[in-house]
Amino acid sequence: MSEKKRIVITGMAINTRLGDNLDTFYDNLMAGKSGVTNWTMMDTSRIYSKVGGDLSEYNVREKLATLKPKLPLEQFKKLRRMVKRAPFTTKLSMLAAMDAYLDAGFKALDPFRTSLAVAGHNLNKMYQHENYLQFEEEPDYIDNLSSVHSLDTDHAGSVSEVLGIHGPIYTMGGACASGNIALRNTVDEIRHHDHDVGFVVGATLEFAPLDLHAMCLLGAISFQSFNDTPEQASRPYDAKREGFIPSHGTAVLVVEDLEHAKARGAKIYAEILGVTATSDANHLPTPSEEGQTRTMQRLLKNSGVAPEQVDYICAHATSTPLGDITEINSIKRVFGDHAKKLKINAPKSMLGHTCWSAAVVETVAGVMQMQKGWLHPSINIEERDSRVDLDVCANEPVEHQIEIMLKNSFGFGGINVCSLIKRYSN
Amino acid sequence: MITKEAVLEVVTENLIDTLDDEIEAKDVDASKSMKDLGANSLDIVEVVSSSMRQLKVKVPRSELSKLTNIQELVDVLYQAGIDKDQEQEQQAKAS
Repeated sequence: MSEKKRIVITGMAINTRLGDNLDTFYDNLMAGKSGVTNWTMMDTSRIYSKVGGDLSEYNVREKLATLKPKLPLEQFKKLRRMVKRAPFTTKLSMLAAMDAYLDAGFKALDPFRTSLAVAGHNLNKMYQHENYLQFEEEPDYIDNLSSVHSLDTDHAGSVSEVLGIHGPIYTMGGACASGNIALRNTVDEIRHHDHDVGFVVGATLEFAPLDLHAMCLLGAISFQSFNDTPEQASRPYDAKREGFIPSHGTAVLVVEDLEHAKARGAKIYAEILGVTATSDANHLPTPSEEGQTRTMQRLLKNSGVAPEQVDYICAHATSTPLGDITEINSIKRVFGDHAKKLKINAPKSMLGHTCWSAAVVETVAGVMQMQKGWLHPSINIEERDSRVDLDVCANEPVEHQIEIMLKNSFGFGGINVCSLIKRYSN
Repeated sequence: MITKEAVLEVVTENLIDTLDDEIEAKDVDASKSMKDLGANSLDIVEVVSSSMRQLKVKVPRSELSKLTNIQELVDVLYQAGIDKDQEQEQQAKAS
Protein backbone atom coordinates (compact mmCIF):
# COMPACT_ATOMS: atom_id res chain seq x y z
CA MET A 1 0.00 0.00 0.00
CA SER A 2 1.31 3.44 -0.91
CA GLU A 3 2.31 5.87 1.79
CA LYS A 4 -0.45 8.16 3.11
CA LYS A 5 -0.60 11.57 1.52
CA ARG A 6 0.44 14.31 3.95
CA ILE A 7 -2.35 16.82 4.50
CA VAL A 8 -1.86 20.44 5.50
CA ILE A 9 -3.85 23.54 6.34
CA THR A 10 -3.13 26.34 3.89
CA GLY A 11 -5.93 28.80 4.51
CA MET A 12 -8.13 29.94 7.38
CA ALA A 13 -10.95 32.36 8.05
CA ILE A 14 -12.91 33.29 11.14
CA ASN A 15 -15.96 35.25 12.17
CA THR A 16 -16.90 35.33 15.83
CA ARG A 17 -17.73 37.95 18.41
CA LEU A 18 -13.97 38.22 18.92
CA GLY A 19 -13.25 39.26 15.36
CA ASP A 20 -13.83 38.58 11.68
CA ASN A 21 -10.17 38.36 10.76
CA LEU A 22 -7.37 36.16 12.06
CA ASP A 23 -5.27 38.85 13.74
CA THR A 24 -8.09 40.54 15.65
CA PHE A 25 -9.43 37.14 16.70
CA TYR A 26 -6.01 36.09 18.01
CA ASP A 27 -5.40 39.43 19.77
CA ASN A 28 -8.75 39.25 21.57
CA LEU A 29 -8.15 35.66 22.62
CA MET A 30 -4.77 36.60 24.04
CA ALA A 31 -6.29 39.59 25.83
CA GLY A 32 -8.78 37.27 27.53
CA LYS A 33 -11.74 39.15 26.13
CA SER A 34 -15.20 37.60 26.38
CA GLY A 35 -17.48 37.67 23.34
CA VAL A 36 -20.58 36.81 25.36
CA THR A 37 -23.32 39.41 25.79
CA ASN A 38 -27.07 39.50 26.29
CA TRP A 39 -28.97 38.27 23.22
CA THR A 40 -29.99 41.02 20.84
CA MET A 41 -31.30 38.92 17.94
CA MET A 42 -34.47 37.90 19.73
CA ASP A 43 -36.92 38.86 22.42
CA THR A 44 -35.91 36.75 25.42
CA SER A 45 -38.75 37.84 27.71
CA ARG A 46 -40.50 34.46 27.43
CA ILE A 47 -37.43 32.22 27.60
CA TYR A 48 -34.88 31.52 30.29
CA SER A 49 -31.81 31.99 28.10
CA LYS A 50 -30.57 35.58 28.20
CA VAL A 51 -26.91 35.39 27.23
CA GLY A 52 -24.97 34.22 24.20
CA GLY A 53 -22.38 35.05 21.60
CA ASP A 54 -24.61 37.08 19.32
CA LEU A 55 -23.39 38.01 15.84
CA SER A 56 -26.78 39.05 14.51
CA GLU A 57 -25.76 42.70 14.25
CA TYR A 58 -22.65 41.84 12.25
CA ASN A 59 -21.98 44.41 9.54
CA VAL A 60 -22.12 42.40 6.31
CA ARG A 61 -21.92 45.49 4.11
CA GLU A 62 -18.65 46.53 5.75
CA LYS A 63 -17.19 43.06 5.24
CA LEU A 64 -18.16 43.09 1.58
CA ALA A 65 -16.41 46.44 1.22
CA THR A 66 -13.16 44.93 2.54
CA LEU A 67 -13.43 42.05 0.04
CA LYS A 68 -14.21 44.22 -2.99
CA PRO A 69 -10.64 45.35 -3.81
CA LYS A 70 -9.31 41.80 -3.41
CA LEU A 71 -11.59 40.11 -5.95
CA PRO A 72 -12.17 40.31 -9.71
CA LEU A 73 -15.23 42.50 -10.28
CA GLU A 74 -17.47 39.74 -11.64
CA GLN A 75 -16.65 37.41 -8.74
CA PHE A 76 -17.31 40.20 -6.26
CA LYS A 77 -20.64 41.06 -7.88
CA LYS A 78 -21.72 37.43 -7.70
CA LEU A 79 -20.74 37.27 -4.02
CA ARG A 80 -22.55 40.51 -3.22
CA ARG A 81 -25.68 39.41 -5.03
CA MET A 82 -25.79 36.03 -3.29
CA VAL A 83 -24.97 37.46 0.14
CA LYS A 84 -27.74 40.01 -0.21
CA ARG A 85 -30.45 37.40 -0.68
CA ALA A 86 -29.22 34.71 1.68
CA PRO A 87 -30.30 34.10 5.27
CA PHE A 88 -27.96 35.42 7.96
CA THR A 89 -25.91 32.28 8.61
CA THR A 90 -25.53 31.49 4.90
CA LYS A 91 -24.19 35.00 4.36
CA LEU A 92 -21.55 34.30 7.01
CA SER A 93 -20.57 30.99 5.37
CA MET A 94 -20.07 32.61 1.98
CA LEU A 95 -18.09 35.56 3.35
CA ALA A 96 -15.80 33.36 5.45
CA ALA A 97 -15.25 30.90 2.60
CA MET A 98 -14.19 33.78 0.37
CA ASP A 99 -11.87 35.05 3.11
CA ALA A 100 -10.28 31.59 3.42
CA TYR A 101 -9.91 31.30 -0.36
CA LEU A 102 -8.02 34.59 -0.37
CA ASP A 103 -5.99 33.66 2.71
CA ALA A 104 -4.90 30.45 0.95
CA GLY A 105 -3.52 32.57 -1.87
CA PHE A 106 -5.58 31.04 -4.65
CA LYS A 107 -5.95 32.92 -7.89
CA ALA A 108 -8.29 30.20 -9.13
CA LEU A 109 -9.34 26.74 -8.01
CA ASP A 110 -9.29 23.60 -10.10
CA PRO A 111 -13.07 23.23 -9.88
CA PHE A 112 -13.13 19.45 -10.30
CA ARG A 113 -10.35 18.70 -7.80
CA THR A 114 -11.82 20.67 -4.88
CA SER A 115 -14.29 19.41 -2.28
CA LEU A 116 -16.47 21.29 0.18
CA ALA A 117 -17.84 20.03 3.49
CA VAL A 118 -20.13 22.22 5.59
CA ALA A 119 -20.07 21.25 9.25
CA GLY A 120 -23.46 21.32 10.91
CA HIS A 121 -27.15 20.65 10.54
CA ASN A 122 -30.42 22.45 11.36
CA LEU A 123 -28.43 25.61 10.80
CA ASN A 124 -30.79 28.46 9.87
CA LYS A 125 -33.06 28.07 12.86
CA MET A 126 -33.98 31.69 13.48
CA TYR A 127 -34.64 32.20 9.77
CA GLN A 128 -37.04 29.26 9.83
CA HIS A 129 -38.61 30.45 13.08
CA GLU A 130 -39.33 33.84 11.53
CA ASN A 131 -40.74 32.23 8.41
CA TYR A 132 -43.07 30.07 10.51
CA LEU A 133 -44.29 33.17 12.33
CA GLN A 134 -44.84 34.91 8.99
CA PHE A 135 -46.61 31.83 7.66
CA GLU A 136 -49.02 31.90 10.58
CA GLU A 137 -49.80 35.52 9.81
CA GLU A 138 -49.90 35.28 6.01
CA PRO A 139 -48.57 32.25 4.07
CA ASP A 140 -47.92 34.23 0.89
CA TYR A 141 -45.52 36.61 2.64
CA ILE A 142 -42.88 34.04 3.62
CA ASP A 143 -39.49 34.29 1.94
CA ASN A 144 -40.17 33.19 -1.62
CA LEU A 145 -36.89 31.26 -1.62
CA SER A 146 -37.67 29.58 1.69
CA SER A 147 -37.69 26.11 0.15
CA VAL A 148 -34.07 26.67 -0.91
CA HIS A 149 -32.81 28.81 1.97
CA SER A 150 -34.17 26.47 4.64
CA LEU A 151 -31.98 23.61 3.51
CA ASP A 152 -28.64 23.16 5.24
CA THR A 153 -27.22 22.17 1.88
CA ASP A 154 -27.90 25.72 0.70
CA HIS A 155 -24.73 26.65 2.61
CA ALA A 156 -22.79 24.15 0.52
CA GLY A 157 -24.53 25.18 -2.70
CA SER A 158 -24.00 28.87 -2.06
CA VAL A 159 -20.32 28.55 -1.12
CA SER A 160 -19.68 26.29 -4.10
CA GLU A 161 -21.29 28.87 -6.37
CA VAL A 162 -19.26 31.83 -5.12
CA LEU A 163 -16.02 29.83 -5.26
CA GLY A 164 -16.81 27.90 -8.45
CA ILE A 165 -16.37 24.44 -6.91
CA HIS A 166 -17.55 21.44 -8.95
CA GLY A 167 -16.25 18.64 -6.72
CA PRO A 168 -18.35 16.97 -4.02
CA ILE A 169 -20.27 19.33 -1.73
CA TYR A 170 -22.33 18.33 1.27
CA THR A 171 -23.09 18.91 4.95
CA MET A 172 -21.69 16.75 7.73
CA GLY A 173 -23.72 16.40 10.91
CA GLY A 174 -22.21 15.45 14.22
CA ALA A 175 -23.76 17.89 16.71
CA CYS A 176 -20.98 19.72 18.56
CA ALA A 177 -18.38 17.49 16.91
CA SER A 178 -19.56 18.38 13.39
CA GLY A 179 -16.49 20.50 12.68
CA ASN A 180 -14.08 17.64 13.28
CA ILE A 181 -16.30 15.17 11.39
CA ALA A 182 -16.18 17.50 8.40
CA LEU A 183 -12.41 17.83 8.75
CA ARG A 184 -12.07 14.03 8.90
CA ASN A 185 -14.09 13.61 5.74
CA THR A 186 -12.15 16.31 3.94
CA VAL A 187 -8.88 14.54 4.74
CA ASP A 188 -10.48 11.45 3.19
CA GLU A 189 -11.52 13.43 0.10
CA ILE A 190 -7.86 14.19 -0.52
CA ARG A 191 -6.43 10.82 0.51
CA HIS A 192 -9.03 8.54 -1.04
CA HIS A 193 -11.16 10.46 -3.53
CA ASP A 194 -8.57 12.13 -5.73
CA HIS A 195 -9.01 15.76 -4.67
CA ASP A 196 -6.20 18.23 -4.05
CA VAL A 197 -8.01 20.81 -1.95
CA GLY A 198 -10.94 20.70 0.46
CA PHE A 199 -12.83 23.51 2.14
CA VAL A 200 -14.18 22.83 5.62
CA VAL A 201 -16.84 25.39 6.46
CA GLY A 202 -17.87 25.52 10.11
CA ALA A 203 -21.25 27.17 9.71
CA THR A 204 -22.98 29.25 12.35
CA LEU A 205 -25.81 27.57 14.18
CA GLU A 206 -28.31 30.38 14.44
CA PHE A 207 -30.43 29.21 17.41
CA ALA A 208 -34.13 30.05 17.70
CA PRO A 209 -35.88 30.88 20.98
CA LEU A 210 -37.38 27.39 21.16
CA ASP A 211 -33.95 25.72 20.89
CA LEU A 212 -32.49 27.91 23.62
CA HIS A 213 -35.43 27.32 25.90
CA ALA A 214 -35.27 23.57 25.31
CA MET A 215 -31.60 23.54 26.27
CA CYS A 216 -32.43 25.44 29.47
CA LEU A 217 -35.07 22.86 30.34
CA LEU A 218 -32.45 20.19 29.76
CA GLY A 219 -30.03 22.04 32.06
CA ALA A 220 -27.39 22.17 29.34
CA ILE A 221 -26.88 25.91 29.10
CA SER A 222 -26.24 28.67 31.63
CA PHE A 223 -29.35 30.69 32.47
CA GLN A 224 -29.36 31.41 36.21
CA SER A 225 -26.42 33.22 37.75
CA PHE A 226 -24.82 35.31 35.01
CA ASN A 227 -27.62 37.08 33.13
CA ASP A 228 -26.38 40.46 34.43
CA THR A 229 -22.71 39.60 33.90
CA PRO A 230 -22.73 37.74 30.57
CA GLU A 231 -18.97 38.04 30.14
CA GLN A 232 -18.58 35.79 33.20
CA ALA A 233 -21.10 33.16 32.14
CA SER A 234 -18.73 30.87 30.25
CA ARG A 235 -16.30 29.56 32.86
CA PRO A 236 -14.87 26.13 32.10
CA TYR A 237 -13.05 24.54 35.04
CA ASP A 238 -14.47 27.05 37.53
CA ALA A 239 -16.44 25.70 40.48
CA LYS A 240 -19.42 27.94 39.69
CA ARG A 241 -19.84 26.87 36.05
CA GLU A 242 -23.45 26.00 35.28
CA GLY A 243 -23.70 25.18 31.60
CA PHE A 244 -22.49 26.19 28.18
CA ILE A 245 -23.14 29.50 26.43
CA PRO A 246 -24.64 29.19 22.95
CA SER A 247 -22.75 31.34 20.47
CA HIS A 248 -22.63 32.24 16.84
CA GLY A 249 -19.38 31.58 15.02
CA THR A 250 -18.23 30.70 11.53
CA ALA A 251 -14.81 29.46 10.52
CA VAL A 252 -13.25 27.92 7.44
CA LEU A 253 -10.19 25.74 6.95
CA VAL A 254 -8.57 25.16 3.58
CA VAL A 255 -7.12 21.67 3.67
CA GLU A 256 -4.69 20.56 0.99
CA ASP A 257 -2.44 17.79 -0.23
CA LEU A 258 1.05 18.84 0.92
CA GLU A 259 2.62 18.20 -2.48
CA HIS A 260 -0.06 20.28 -4.18
CA ALA A 261 0.46 23.08 -1.67
CA LYS A 262 4.22 23.03 -2.18
CA ALA A 263 3.87 22.99 -5.96
CA ARG A 264 1.85 26.20 -5.91
CA GLY A 265 4.09 27.82 -3.31
CA ALA A 266 1.34 28.07 -0.69
CA LYS A 267 2.03 29.15 2.87
CA ILE A 268 1.53 26.18 5.14
CA TYR A 269 0.01 26.74 8.57
CA ALA A 270 0.12 23.23 10.00
CA GLU A 271 -0.08 19.53 9.19
CA ILE A 272 -3.09 17.36 10.00
CA LEU A 273 -1.80 14.08 11.42
CA GLY A 274 -5.18 12.45 11.88
CA VAL A 275 -8.81 12.75 12.84
CA THR A 276 -10.61 9.95 14.68
CA ALA A 277 -14.32 9.47 15.35
CA THR A 278 -16.13 7.07 17.67
CA SER A 279 -19.49 6.94 19.40
CA ASP A 280 -20.95 5.83 22.71
CA ALA A 281 -24.17 4.05 21.66
CA ASN A 282 -26.05 6.65 23.69
CA HIS A 283 -28.37 9.22 22.13
CA LEU A 284 -28.47 11.42 25.23
CA PRO A 285 -26.12 14.35 25.93
CA THR A 286 -24.13 12.44 28.52
CA PRO A 287 -20.36 12.57 28.06
CA SER A 288 -18.50 9.27 28.36
CA GLU A 289 -15.03 9.01 29.86
CA GLU A 290 -14.62 5.62 28.22
CA GLY A 291 -15.68 6.97 24.83
CA GLN A 292 -13.47 10.04 25.00
CA THR A 293 -10.48 8.00 26.21
CA ARG A 294 -10.96 5.43 23.45
CA THR A 295 -11.13 8.17 20.82
CA MET A 296 -7.96 9.95 21.91
CA GLN A 297 -6.06 6.66 22.25
CA ARG A 298 -7.13 5.47 18.84
CA LEU A 299 -6.24 8.81 17.28
CA LEU A 300 -2.73 8.69 18.73
CA LYS A 301 -2.25 5.10 17.58
CA ASN A 302 -3.58 5.73 14.06
CA SER A 303 -1.43 8.83 13.71
CA GLY A 304 1.73 7.09 14.95
CA VAL A 305 2.14 9.64 17.74
CA ALA A 306 3.21 8.74 21.29
CA PRO A 307 1.23 10.46 24.08
CA GLU A 308 4.44 12.17 25.23
CA GLN A 309 4.76 13.93 21.85
CA VAL A 310 1.55 15.87 22.40
CA ASP A 311 2.21 19.12 24.25
CA TYR A 312 -1.05 21.05 23.93
CA ILE A 313 -4.76 20.31 24.09
CA CYS A 314 -7.31 22.72 22.68
CA ALA A 315 -10.04 21.42 24.94
CA HIS A 316 -13.72 20.85 24.25
CA ALA A 317 -14.40 22.31 27.75
CA THR A 318 -17.88 23.77 27.35
CA SER A 319 -18.38 25.00 30.93
CA THR A 320 -20.82 22.28 31.94
CA PRO A 321 -20.32 20.73 35.38
CA LEU A 322 -20.13 17.16 34.07
CA GLY A 323 -18.54 17.71 30.64
CA ASP A 324 -15.43 19.57 31.79
CA ILE A 325 -14.49 17.05 34.44
CA THR A 326 -15.21 14.10 32.15
CA GLU A 327 -12.76 15.46 29.59
CA ILE A 328 -10.10 16.17 32.25
CA ASN A 329 -10.44 12.61 33.56
CA SER A 330 -10.21 11.21 30.03
CA ILE A 331 -7.06 13.22 29.38
CA LYS A 332 -5.50 11.81 32.57
CA ARG A 333 -6.33 8.27 31.49
CA VAL A 334 -4.86 8.75 28.01
CA PHE A 335 -1.72 10.64 28.97
CA GLY A 336 -0.92 9.24 32.43
CA ASP A 337 1.95 11.12 34.08
CA HIS A 338 2.47 13.19 30.94
CA ALA A 339 -0.92 14.86 31.56
CA LYS A 340 0.76 17.09 34.16
CA LYS A 341 3.14 18.41 31.50
CA LEU A 342 0.40 19.24 29.00
CA LYS A 343 -0.80 22.76 28.35
CA ILE A 344 -4.58 22.88 28.06
CA ASN A 345 -6.87 25.81 27.41
CA ALA A 346 -10.56 26.43 26.90
CA PRO A 347 -11.41 28.72 23.96
CA LYS A 348 -15.09 28.52 24.89
CA SER A 349 -14.36 30.51 28.04
CA MET A 350 -14.21 33.54 25.73
CA LEU A 351 -16.12 32.46 22.64
CA GLY A 352 -18.96 30.57 24.25
CA HIS A 353 -19.94 27.36 22.49
CA THR A 354 -20.32 27.75 18.74
CA CYS A 355 -21.65 24.17 18.68
CA TRP A 356 -21.58 22.74 15.15
CA SER A 357 -18.70 24.96 14.05
CA ALA A 358 -16.80 24.78 17.34
CA ALA A 359 -14.08 22.37 16.24
CA VAL A 360 -13.35 24.50 13.16
CA VAL A 361 -13.47 27.80 15.06
CA GLU A 362 -11.20 26.42 17.77
CA THR A 363 -8.81 24.73 15.35
CA VAL A 364 -8.28 28.19 13.85
CA ALA A 365 -7.61 29.46 17.38
CA GLY A 366 -5.18 26.58 18.02
CA VAL A 367 -3.31 27.06 14.76
CA MET A 368 -3.01 30.80 15.40
CA GLN A 369 -1.47 30.04 18.80
CA MET A 370 0.87 27.55 17.11
CA GLN A 371 1.94 30.28 14.68
CA LYS A 372 2.55 32.89 17.36
CA GLY A 373 4.10 30.81 20.15
CA TRP A 374 1.62 31.88 22.81
CA LEU A 375 -1.39 30.21 24.43
CA HIS A 376 -4.51 32.15 25.30
CA PRO A 377 -5.90 32.05 28.84
CA SER A 378 -8.91 30.10 30.03
CA ILE A 379 -10.81 33.02 31.55
CA ASN A 380 -13.25 33.26 34.45
CA ILE A 381 -11.50 30.72 36.66
CA GLU A 382 -12.14 32.39 40.03
CA GLU A 383 -12.36 29.27 42.12
CA ARG A 384 -10.91 26.32 40.29
CA ASP A 385 -12.80 23.03 40.53
CA SER A 386 -10.48 21.03 42.80
CA ARG A 387 -10.68 18.04 40.45
CA VAL A 388 -9.12 20.10 37.65
CA ASP A 389 -5.48 19.52 38.62
CA LEU A 390 -3.87 20.00 35.20
CA ASP A 391 -2.37 23.15 33.66
CA VAL A 392 -5.39 24.84 32.07
CA CYS A 393 -3.71 28.23 31.45
CA ALA A 394 -5.92 29.85 34.08
CA ASN A 395 -6.63 33.54 33.44
CA GLU A 396 -3.25 34.48 31.95
CA PRO A 397 -1.69 33.86 28.53
CA VAL A 398 1.27 31.49 28.49
CA GLU A 399 4.32 31.61 26.25
CA HIS A 400 4.62 28.19 24.68
CA GLN A 401 5.57 26.85 21.26
CA ILE A 402 3.02 24.18 20.32
CA GLU A 403 4.48 21.18 18.51
CA ILE A 404 1.48 18.83 18.41
CA MET A 405 -2.05 19.93 19.26
CA LEU A 406 -4.93 17.68 20.19
CA LYS A 407 -8.30 19.23 19.36
CA ASN A 408 -11.16 17.56 21.18
CA SER A 409 -14.82 17.78 20.23
CA PHE A 410 -17.68 15.85 21.79
CA GLY A 411 -21.28 16.08 20.64
CA PHE A 412 -24.73 15.32 22.00
CA GLY A 413 -25.59 11.73 21.19
CA GLY A 414 -22.26 10.24 22.21
CA ILE A 415 -20.31 11.59 19.24
CA ASN A 416 -16.57 11.83 19.91
CA VAL A 417 -14.21 13.27 17.31
CA CYS A 418 -10.63 14.37 17.95
CA SER A 419 -7.89 15.66 15.67
CA LEU A 420 -4.12 15.89 15.91
CA ILE A 421 -2.42 18.85 14.28
CA LYS A 422 1.34 19.38 14.09
CA ARG A 423 3.46 22.45 13.57
CA TYR A 424 4.61 22.21 9.98
CA SER A 425 8.15 21.28 9.14
CA ASN A 426 9.62 19.67 6.06
CA MET B 1 -55.81 55.21 -0.68
CA ILE B 2 -52.77 54.19 -2.71
CA THR B 3 -52.38 55.34 -6.32
CA LYS B 4 -51.21 53.31 -9.31
CA GLU B 5 -48.19 55.58 -9.55
CA ALA B 6 -47.21 54.69 -5.99
CA VAL B 7 -47.60 50.98 -6.76
CA LEU B 8 -45.39 51.35 -9.83
CA GLU B 9 -42.81 53.09 -7.67
CA VAL B 10 -42.76 50.16 -5.23
CA VAL B 11 -42.43 47.60 -8.04
CA THR B 12 -39.68 49.66 -9.70
CA GLU B 13 -37.72 49.98 -6.45
CA ASN B 14 -37.92 46.24 -5.84
CA LEU B 15 -36.91 45.43 -9.40
CA ILE B 16 -33.86 47.69 -9.19
CA ASP B 17 -32.93 46.22 -5.82
CA THR B 18 -33.35 42.63 -7.03
CA LEU B 19 -31.23 43.33 -10.11
CA ASP B 20 -28.50 44.82 -7.88
CA ASP B 21 -28.76 48.31 -9.31
CA GLU B 22 -27.89 47.03 -12.80
CA ILE B 23 -30.79 49.15 -14.08
CA GLU B 24 -32.12 52.59 -13.18
CA ALA B 25 -35.66 53.82 -12.64
CA LYS B 26 -35.67 55.49 -16.04
CA ASP B 27 -35.06 52.08 -17.68
CA VAL B 28 -38.27 50.67 -16.23
CA ASP B 29 -40.88 50.86 -18.99
CA ALA B 30 -44.13 49.49 -17.58
CA SER B 31 -45.19 48.18 -20.96
CA LYS B 32 -42.24 45.77 -20.90
CA SER B 33 -41.88 42.53 -18.99
CA MET B 34 -39.33 42.19 -16.21
CA LYS B 35 -37.57 39.57 -18.35
CA ASP B 36 -36.98 42.26 -20.97
CA LEU B 37 -35.06 44.16 -18.30
CA GLY B 38 -32.84 41.21 -17.40
CA ALA B 39 -34.77 39.49 -14.60
CA ASN B 40 -34.93 35.69 -14.43
CA SER B 41 -37.91 33.76 -13.07
CA LEU B 42 -36.61 33.76 -9.49
CA ASP B 43 -35.95 37.50 -9.70
CA ILE B 44 -39.55 38.04 -10.79
CA VAL B 45 -40.90 36.00 -7.87
CA GLU B 46 -38.71 38.08 -5.56
CA VAL B 47 -40.01 41.37 -6.97
CA VAL B 48 -43.65 40.24 -6.75
CA SER B 49 -43.29 38.85 -3.21
CA SER B 50 -41.44 41.90 -1.92
CA SER B 51 -44.00 44.23 -3.47
CA MET B 52 -46.92 42.30 -1.98
CA ARG B 53 -45.32 42.35 1.46
CA GLN B 54 -44.55 46.05 1.22
CA LEU B 55 -48.03 46.98 -0.02
CA LYS B 56 -49.64 44.54 2.42
CA VAL B 57 -51.76 43.01 -0.32
CA LYS B 58 -52.14 39.48 -1.62
CA VAL B 59 -52.69 38.27 -5.17
CA PRO B 60 -53.27 34.56 -5.85
CA ARG B 61 -50.33 32.94 -7.66
CA SER B 62 -52.69 31.61 -10.34
CA GLU B 63 -53.56 35.19 -11.26
CA LEU B 64 -49.93 36.31 -11.25
CA SER B 65 -48.90 33.64 -13.72
CA LYS B 66 -51.11 35.23 -16.41
CA LEU B 67 -49.36 38.61 -16.31
CA THR B 68 -47.25 39.61 -19.30
CA ASN B 69 -45.82 43.01 -18.36
CA ILE B 70 -45.05 45.34 -15.45
CA GLN B 71 -48.18 47.45 -15.93
CA GLU B 72 -50.40 44.36 -15.54
CA LEU B 73 -48.63 43.57 -12.28
CA VAL B 74 -49.16 47.13 -11.08
CA ASP B 75 -52.84 46.86 -11.99
CA VAL B 76 -53.48 43.65 -10.05
CA LEU B 77 -51.54 44.90 -7.01
CA TYR B 78 -53.50 48.17 -7.12
CA GLN B 79 -56.81 46.31 -7.45
CA ALA B 80 -55.88 44.02 -4.56
CA GLY B 81 -55.30 47.14 -2.45
CA ILE B 82 -58.68 48.57 -3.40
CA ASP B 83 -60.41 45.25 -2.64
CA LYS B 84 -58.66 45.03 0.73
CA ASP B 85 -59.65 48.59 1.68
CA GLN B 86 -63.29 47.92 0.76
CA GLU B 87 -63.33 44.68 2.70
CA GLN B 88 -61.94 46.44 5.77
CA GLU B 89 -64.53 49.21 5.45
CA GLN B 90 -67.35 46.68 5.28
CA GLN B 91 -65.99 44.85 8.29
CA ALA B 92 -65.77 48.12 10.21
CA LYS B 93 -69.38 48.95 9.36
CA ALA B 94 -70.55 45.47 10.31
CA SER B 95 -68.92 45.70 13.70
